[in-house]
Amino acid sequence: MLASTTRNLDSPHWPRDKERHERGTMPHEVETIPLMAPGPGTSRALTVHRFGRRGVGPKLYFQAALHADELPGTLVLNHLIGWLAAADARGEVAADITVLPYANPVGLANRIHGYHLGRYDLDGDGNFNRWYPRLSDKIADRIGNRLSDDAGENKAVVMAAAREAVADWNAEGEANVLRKALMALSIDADMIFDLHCHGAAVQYAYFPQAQWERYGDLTAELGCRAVLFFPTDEGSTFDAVATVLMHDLAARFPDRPMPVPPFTTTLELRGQQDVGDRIAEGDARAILRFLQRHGMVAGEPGLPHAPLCKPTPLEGSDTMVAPCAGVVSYRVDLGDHVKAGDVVADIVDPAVLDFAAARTPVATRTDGIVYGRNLSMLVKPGQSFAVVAGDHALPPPDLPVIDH
Amino acid sequence: MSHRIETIALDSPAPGTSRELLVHRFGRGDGPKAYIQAAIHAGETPALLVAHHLLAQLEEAEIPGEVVLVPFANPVGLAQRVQGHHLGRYNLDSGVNFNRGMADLSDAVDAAVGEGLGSDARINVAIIREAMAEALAGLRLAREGSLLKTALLGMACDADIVLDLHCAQRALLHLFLDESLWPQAADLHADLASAVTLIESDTGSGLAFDHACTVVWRTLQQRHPVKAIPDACLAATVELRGFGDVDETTAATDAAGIMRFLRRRGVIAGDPGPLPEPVGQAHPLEAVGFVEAPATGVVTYRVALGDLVRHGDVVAEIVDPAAHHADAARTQVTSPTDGLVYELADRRFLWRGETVCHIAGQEPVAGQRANLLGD
Amino acid sequence: MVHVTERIDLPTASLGTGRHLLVHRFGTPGARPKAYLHAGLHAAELPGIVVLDHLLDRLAEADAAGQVTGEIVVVPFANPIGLAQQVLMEAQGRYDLDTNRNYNRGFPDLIEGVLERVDGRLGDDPVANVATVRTAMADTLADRCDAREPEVLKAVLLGLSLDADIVLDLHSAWEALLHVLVSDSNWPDAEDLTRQMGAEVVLIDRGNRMMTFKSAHVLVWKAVARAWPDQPVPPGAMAAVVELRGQRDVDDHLTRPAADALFHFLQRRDVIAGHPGPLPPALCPARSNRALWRLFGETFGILVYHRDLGDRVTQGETFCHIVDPETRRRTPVVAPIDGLLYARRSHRFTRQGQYFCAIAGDELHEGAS
Repeated sequence: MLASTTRNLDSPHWPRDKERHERGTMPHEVETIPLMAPGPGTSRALTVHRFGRRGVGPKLYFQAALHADELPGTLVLNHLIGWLAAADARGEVAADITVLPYANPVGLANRIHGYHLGRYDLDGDGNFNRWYPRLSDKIADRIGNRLSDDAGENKAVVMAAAREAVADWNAEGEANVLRKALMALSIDADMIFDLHCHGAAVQYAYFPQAQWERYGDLTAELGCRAVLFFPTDEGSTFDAVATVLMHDLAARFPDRPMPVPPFTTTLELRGQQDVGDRIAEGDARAILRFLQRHGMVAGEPGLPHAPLCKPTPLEGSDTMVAPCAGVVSYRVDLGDHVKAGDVVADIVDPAVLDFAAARTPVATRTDGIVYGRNLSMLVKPGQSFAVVAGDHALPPPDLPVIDH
Repeated sequence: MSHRIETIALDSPAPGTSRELLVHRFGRGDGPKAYIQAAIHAGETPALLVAHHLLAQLEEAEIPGEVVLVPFANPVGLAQRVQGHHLGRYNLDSGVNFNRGMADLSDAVDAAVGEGLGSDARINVAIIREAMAEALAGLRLAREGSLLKTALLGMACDADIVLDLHCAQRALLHLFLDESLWPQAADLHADLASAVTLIESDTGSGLAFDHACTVVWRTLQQRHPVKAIPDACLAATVELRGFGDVDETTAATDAAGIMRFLRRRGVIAGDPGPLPEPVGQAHPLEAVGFVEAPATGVVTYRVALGDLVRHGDVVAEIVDPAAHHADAARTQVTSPTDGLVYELADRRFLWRGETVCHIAGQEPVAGQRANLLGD
Repeated sequence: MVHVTERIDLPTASLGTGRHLLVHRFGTPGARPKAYLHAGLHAAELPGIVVLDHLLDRLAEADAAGQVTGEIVVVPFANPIGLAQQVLMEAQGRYDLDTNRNYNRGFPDLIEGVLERVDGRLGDDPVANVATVRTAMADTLADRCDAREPEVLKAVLLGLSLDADIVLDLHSAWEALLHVLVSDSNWPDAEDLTRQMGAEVVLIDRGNRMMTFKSAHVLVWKAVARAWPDQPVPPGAMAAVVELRGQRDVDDHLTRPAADALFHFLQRRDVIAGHPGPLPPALCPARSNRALWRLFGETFGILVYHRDLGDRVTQGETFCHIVDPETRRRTPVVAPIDGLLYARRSHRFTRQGQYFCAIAGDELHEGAS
């Protein structure tokens, strides 16, 4: 039985309640998708879990550990998969849900001298969460003369063309073959949840401002201490692929009813050390409540949790950059509220005798919450090490913030 | 107190790169000598901050003896970064652990002076130390990592006290001591508030720095049992908790603990105060359970640092994200002994066979592989 | 003038490690033409370092005899960071291990800053215009601030070279014929260089905003000329990349003649007095950059070549096989065009989708014959 709680049934994508009952369900499916083999005797694969009815209801996509050293999400999805499987068996899943408990087997295997390097492709194809191709032009060319005045039809045309364009992408190298596989699984999703974490951090999330009214309860359920509005019409991250595509197509065909960009969010589930069942279960429950409240899974989610913060613009985040090499000695803790001009940390050169001379303070330019920092306490000049979420856009800093 | 700062240029590995060690020397030289180095494993940042606080405290102290402080012992490792990760434990070029492969000077020293040792311990100590220095100078070493190690050992080999400051992954503060130094070093254990002090009965594979300082004495004692050869060097590896435990208050307290110990040993003048109650016990290294991951996956702990566990208790689970069924994904990891959980892995994704945690008991743990501390 | 050697220390990036460059100067500061040469920006590309080592002797001798009429700046090893990178005995000089960046990308992009600064300042005198642009480049560079070690290095190298008339960046490929890369704005001006060096392949490109060292010079001049087409702004720098064969081609019988060739080139350009001798004939026509075909592994495996560097291959010819020891299959590698096999990776294992060799096809640069 699907409980009747507040639910948004006004979207044209979603069938009504009784249609869900009539169509029944399918059991939890697990698929193994092979990726590129880098050499003889080595194979790589993704494990993909599916729940609900294929093509019925909104399509949801979850993945964790795209940066392969960001593991909290893998435990969260481990719990969620168990609950979704049980719910599915009871016929209580009313959406088409795809879950990848680990998105990046290439990065999981990247180790040098015992250090796990999971963020960048060792072979040189960059940050695993950047450099996703922008296929808008190719897709626009394919669909130009097949669009109509019917939104539903146009969506089908766009999605088919998008899937084809991904399939046609001649991806070379392990990291790109991975990118291609993840895009193939998610490009036609209505909702995309990319589970990451920071080095060390409070719970926070990157959220699309346009969807805040509708889906902002997710961040409240998760207890986010910072929510960063990010632009969805640009970027080469995984979660930008589908939103940028839809923005581009809408701009290209302004006279046609084009599909709306999917809801995508990157959840930063605290820090790399915050891997434990108690936390994971709590986060998984939060996600489940969200799914229940929005009608994807049956069950009573209760009243939404009160939000712990207001959202802030991404351009309002101040990144601390080290001007010199040394040990980072923090003056503040994660979660602290600071004011513009407050020193966040001193970079300490342990070789310098004079206490004062050994320390180079690094101050924040904004009021806000200290929401994330690096795990390692050693920095090189030019390296960023901590972030403060401020509520108004900041001018570019003196030392550039490098994101790659 | 007279404070001299020295820069030791190490050999350059390549055109345009220079390496140097910074060495602080304190004291009148009329008493025992202590040698302290920080972060020979270059990423062990707590050690760097403690050394920084020691510097400040030593400047204020009256030092009848001698203190040599190397505030960052490994400029080679400090420069090793891959993809933003700092790789400080192994030499990226040779693959060798920076804290292994120290020179064992026993044979060279024995050959030089063994027969000439007598029944006067003080004279023997002086002779042996001089022979160690000469033996080091005579080593033909060209690779960058070896030269660094030789330079450091050269400064430590005539010290009465050697403290090698490290940190572990996620851990309580703990020490490593050779068995020949226990229970003489019980004051170090107490002054540093060590939660666990591990007593080693052999040097393991490849000589670590502290062992390189003590092995000559032990070896000569074994070879010349009738000669008066004391344990002239108290060398300890001090693990200043875990990588993330970098904060000023803790560092200042740790530095103060080291100062207190040095006072107690007469290196530094002043009243050390009564010996603090020890917060932990000594454990033979064979009684430590190095609990291995039985499978590859995400490790989730059921215990915390400082917990006491019994043999068979579940200490962690390894979750395999690739398992098709969530409930079949988990492999339990159990304790092989009764004891204190004093170290947990830093990484949260472990390969089969990697260490999940360290549990310090009192009884030898059955079925562990040799070379527990790894290469 | 007396040969002057300067040491430039880079700011400390890591406790206890210092990095420095050595800069050799000959001739008279401020005299023209000014030539700048460096080698080893990709730190495992060693031949250029030895070539410059030979050249230093000749330059010192010429300088002592008062023969250096212009100014010459030589940085014999441009990348101390990369030179110190070894992982388990294998040198890694092309990419910075910390930041993952190719050392020959991401040079400071001075274009916008220069365009702003020269706006309204250009006149009818090309010499004055060039000087104005150079000043703007220096001012723009001085404003930039990126504290990361490799970026500081790049800024220093650009700063040393931005006012030079001739900028030579000495590289080598893994295995290759001697070849030269020049931007279209410097062609056919650079033909004397390519002939003197005995280049077997010459590739003309348009510059690359990924900002290689060469592009950091060339694109500024192109941008200014394009923005003010009515003002005479010739390219202030002739910048070229000379790929001195392969990484292991460091032997004296190869590097000494290359050093001599550079010396003669500098003479021909009036940087050094004296007769350079006749200009050798061109060994090849100038090819468009589009003539370059890079081949990527269709599958992983061991590369077994049947043709050598310098061989011509014809379209459709199988000139190599990829051997998969697991399936025991030999996948043929077929030449996609007629051309010259001129460069390839040294390591004979390829991954799927990985670059392993390059063929110079016959598409010529416009106007070439």
